[in-house]
Amino acid sequence: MRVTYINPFVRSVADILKELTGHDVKQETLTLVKGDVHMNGLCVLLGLTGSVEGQLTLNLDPKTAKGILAAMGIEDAEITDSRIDDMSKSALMELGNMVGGKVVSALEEEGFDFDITPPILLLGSATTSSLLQEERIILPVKIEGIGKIEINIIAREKKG
Amino acid sequence: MIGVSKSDNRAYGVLVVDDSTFVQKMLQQILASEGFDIIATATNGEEALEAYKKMQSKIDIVTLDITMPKVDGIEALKNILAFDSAAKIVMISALGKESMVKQALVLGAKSYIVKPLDRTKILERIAKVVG
Repeated sequence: MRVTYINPFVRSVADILKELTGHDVKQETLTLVKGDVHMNGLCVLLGLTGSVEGQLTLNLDPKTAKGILAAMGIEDAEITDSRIDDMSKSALMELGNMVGGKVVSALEEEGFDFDITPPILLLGSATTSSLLQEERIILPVKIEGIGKIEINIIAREKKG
Repeated sequence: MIGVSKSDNRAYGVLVVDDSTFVQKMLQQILASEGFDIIATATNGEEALEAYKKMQSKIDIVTLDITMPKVDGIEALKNILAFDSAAKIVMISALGKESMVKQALVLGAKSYIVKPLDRTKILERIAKVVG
């Protein structure tokens, strides 16, 4: 995975979360891992297609999700291990769209042309996803007063 | 009130097009609070064209998302403008890449707003378009 991709991803995620919540956002240490993704309860998954291919996932627990949703104007989010209300689901998928849209714009400035697929919301506590088996970057992001989101990034240039 | 015409005291009618129920709700809240009349909502470009054709006389402005199922916002922009070249359409999308913004404006969109939804930014842009 080229370093060229990483900074725009990191910057985009932090910018959107700060803009949406109005809270300070701190990036923690990046790690490079391979293997399954351990979900914390909720996972917003986006695909990258075009000259850069891969996946972007936002992995968060229900408490953090409720904090973000409250900052987005949804005070009565109902989230359990097996259920989420429709408005909260829609808002979290929109969060994924906004992060993805920002990443696409930032990488276009670096000369890469690609798009994001519509987000998918996965729900489940302590579930292990087998969707991502490639080497990926994990970027933990702390939203002050709300909680932590783990961003998983797989990005590779399309060959040919 | 930005959403009310100063000349005849009539509320401007809006068609809100977005596949996200959350975004629809937020836009309706923001616009209704300034006196705009939400005439209809649509969740894809196909529904948007149908709604526009049915209620054209009441619609002063269309807010249009881009990434939507069936018919996306760029196609919907072309289709609505083909039906009514005077339609006032504001794109509101999470996609802010320069090539997309240019494409929409060249095709005839009056403005382009990049999400997240910011009340001040939305009202300023829409006021310019209806004003």
